[in-house]
Amino acid sequence: MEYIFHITILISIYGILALAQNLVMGSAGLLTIAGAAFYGIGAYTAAILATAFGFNIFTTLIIAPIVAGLIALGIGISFARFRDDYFLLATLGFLMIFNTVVRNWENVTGGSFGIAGIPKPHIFSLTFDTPFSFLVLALIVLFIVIGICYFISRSSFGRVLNAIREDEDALKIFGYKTSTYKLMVFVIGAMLSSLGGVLLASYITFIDANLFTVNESILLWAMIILGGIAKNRGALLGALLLITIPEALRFFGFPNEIAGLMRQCIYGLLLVFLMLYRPKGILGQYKL
Amino acid sequence: MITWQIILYILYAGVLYSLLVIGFGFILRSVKFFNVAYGGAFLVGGYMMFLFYRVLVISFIPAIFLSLFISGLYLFLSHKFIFSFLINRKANNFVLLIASFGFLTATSSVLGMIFGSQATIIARRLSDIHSLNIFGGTLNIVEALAIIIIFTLICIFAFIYFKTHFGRVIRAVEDDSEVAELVGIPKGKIFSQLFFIGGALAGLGGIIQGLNVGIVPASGLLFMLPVIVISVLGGIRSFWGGIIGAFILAIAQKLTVVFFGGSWEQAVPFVILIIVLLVRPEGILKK
Amino acid sequence: MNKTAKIVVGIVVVVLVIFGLSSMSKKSGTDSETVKIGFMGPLSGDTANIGQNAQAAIAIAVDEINNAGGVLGKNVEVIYEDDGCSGATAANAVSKLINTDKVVAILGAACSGATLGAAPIAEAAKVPMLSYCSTNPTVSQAGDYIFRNVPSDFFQANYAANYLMGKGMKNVALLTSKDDWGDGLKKAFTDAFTKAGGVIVSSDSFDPASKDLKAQLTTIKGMNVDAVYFAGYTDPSIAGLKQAHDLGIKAQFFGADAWDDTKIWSELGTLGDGAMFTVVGTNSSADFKAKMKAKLGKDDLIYCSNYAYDGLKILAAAINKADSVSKTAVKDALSKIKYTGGVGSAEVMFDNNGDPTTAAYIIKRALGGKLTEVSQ
Repeated sequence: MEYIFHITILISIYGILALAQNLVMGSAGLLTIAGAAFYGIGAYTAAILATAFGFNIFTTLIIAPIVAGLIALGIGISFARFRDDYFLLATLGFLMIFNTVVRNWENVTGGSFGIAGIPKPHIFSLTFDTPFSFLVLALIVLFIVIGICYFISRSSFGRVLNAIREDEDALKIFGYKTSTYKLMVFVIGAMLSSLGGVLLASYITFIDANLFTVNESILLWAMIILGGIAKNRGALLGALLLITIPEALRFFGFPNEIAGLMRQCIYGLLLVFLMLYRPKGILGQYKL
Repeated sequence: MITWQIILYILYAGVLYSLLVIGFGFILRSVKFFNVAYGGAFLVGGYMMFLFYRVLVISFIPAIFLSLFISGLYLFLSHKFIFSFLINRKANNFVLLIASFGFLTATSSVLGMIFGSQATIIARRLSDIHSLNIFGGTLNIVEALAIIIIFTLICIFAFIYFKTHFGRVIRAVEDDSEVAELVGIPKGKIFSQLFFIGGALAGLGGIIQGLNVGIVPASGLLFMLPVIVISVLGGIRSFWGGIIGAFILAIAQKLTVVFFGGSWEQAVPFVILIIVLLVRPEGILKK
Repeated sequence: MNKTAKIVVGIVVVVLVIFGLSSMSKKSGTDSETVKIGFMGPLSGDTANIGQNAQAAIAIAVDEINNAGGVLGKNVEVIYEDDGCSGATAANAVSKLINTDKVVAILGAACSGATLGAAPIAEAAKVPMLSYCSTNPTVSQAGDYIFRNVPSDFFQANYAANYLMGKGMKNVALLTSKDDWGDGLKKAFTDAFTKAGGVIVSSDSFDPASKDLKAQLTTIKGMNVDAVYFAGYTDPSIAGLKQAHDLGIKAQFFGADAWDDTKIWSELGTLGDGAMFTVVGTNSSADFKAKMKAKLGKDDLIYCSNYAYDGLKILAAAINKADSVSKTAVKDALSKIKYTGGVGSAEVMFDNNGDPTTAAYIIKRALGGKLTEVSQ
């Protein structure tokens, strides 16, 4: 049962990350691979504040989005002129530089030693240290994020974002300042991602640079594409599937020598077949 | 003395990147997406060479040609069975990118299952790879030969690309494949040929790498990232731009190691990338 | 939602429910035919070679234990899980091992990140966990149930520093892998060497996945040092020593226990001549190398595998000593154990932090692709 709780916690964390990624990439069509960087900024903010300054994780749930949001604002303004593939490359650059800095800045991030001993959240006399109680917390954060995402996708702001994705130039002609909208959604996405990072840091209690790599961002992409891009439900389904399928494959009984590689191979082929036969994902409507 | 040695190493790194970016550039300019499956051809080339040369003990030259053929075939087949469908469906670049990433992941893991995940060294005996004294500096025989062969290849491909009929056809497809098709150029066939050529070039890169320091199945994406950066750096649409980009990156990486230490090497391509994108988004050479 | 989507979602839900039910209905490991021990290691990704090699070593240990009568009269069964060398995946793996396989103890993980990600879960579930290759100093504080049989970097860096000083090599350049292992050795070596009166002329590192150390080595060549302390794993070490030979660097190359990998020296052949490294002194390691060669069909032994092989035997010994599969009893037995005759170290005892108390090192030198012990 604990194992199921544990997987559900990870699904919730990745659900948050996938929803945030979907908001930026699905709703607004901004191709970004910086997802793992903002996830990492959240995790590191929480870890540093909690271990070095004794902050409560609940406080960092408020501070981390502010830090991530400010960094995203700076990045968003500098990258505002890029479109499509170029934006993708610029965010890739940001992610790689973030990762290298984290790996080298030993005084602050612990460098290659990472940060261990991150505390569990506690409020009054209540500590969220069992899998079940942490699950409750993770689900609460997840539901808040779901609420925000649904609110955005139904608001006029969300409709403008969808229009930007479909035809940015046409929208400019109508007098919309599309760059402002894109910047806003990029910042909001970063703030939501950082929440996932805080939860992860506190749950796993140890973080290092290896958690926030390009492969992690691609996993987030795969989640929203699999579930159905531009659909909040799709992002959640994608997170559910891509966390549980590798776990389910642990029970599949591949020969020990190649089990790990076999799982990786299936993941790769899954992406290929998905792109070939159902690029809009399981629940998707928007055709890529 | 140290400066000269670093220059020699920059030269080698620059030509190796150039080789990879020529093949990648042909594919990128024609199909217009970042085909990371190219990294798979790099691996396939290296591992086939290992199989033929070291395991099956075939002599050197035939083993190279066989490996190049197979790595070309690998990318050719990936086009025939995966990418051509997506391209004909006018799929978004992003779909193509994800599909190629998936294909690269699957390739890496299959190679890992067959050959093991550790570094594979093609040379039968590493001590056979002698070092040569070049005006006081050193290069080993693989590096020296690679520089000569790749320079020759660059000239050959430049000639084909700019002076021959086939080159004009390629450029027409690159400019606008739809229009090219209207004037009777078989688009699909040209794409296939370019994928084959690109695969063989990537395979040659894998062979050189495998002979010199060894290759690892998981290194496909690691190799693709600088190649992608270089192609943007030089200007996606330019043949010579890619080669200039390759040398800029090689210089920057080596100098970073010399002045700031090896732990920053991986970030260098991306710092340059962001600066170039901000200052000159069309790349160094525009067309 | 259209029809296909409904069908897909339906299938997915059914599969997940079956998977959930089957994972919960698994029999508990304690009352079944075998004694179950979990294994975690990187079986996919960049560092998969470490995990796969350890897996082979453990398979040898399992056969030996079972042929000798097993544990508590039952056979040992090892359940292998992939941790992808990452804390998050390791948390999945350890949770699965503890909750669905009901293992008695866990051998893992190799990467410090994975060990530290899994440790809180093992600690909370009170399952003893023995890491076979995590040298990160923070592992010491990971919990009462967390042990490791790989010695701290401090011992060997100290030994190497004193040996080099003793040979009159006062100017040393450092070249270390940019990960917690390499950085740990770098710190420990720098401390010990400067304390002994030596000079660290330069200190550089390289990405663990990189095999191009030419620029680093070229700068070292220009510095005129007596020795290079080169802490790298197998792949960068082969490349680095080859490149140093190309460059004609005359300084003494001195490595760490990761160099006790036959692949490095058989690939390098005469190119590795003269290189030296520290390794824990044991009598049975040559025998174990032969077993690994028979198992894998080639010379391939990563140094973590020594500790993984010992680790499983230590766990088996602890279970036998506890005379029960109670996890707390096993943990208590582990903390009091004195295991001798291992291939990774001659004697293993754990201190209060669960770290090995001592390690006795020897120095080996490569010559013509073979290793010989240096008499001192």
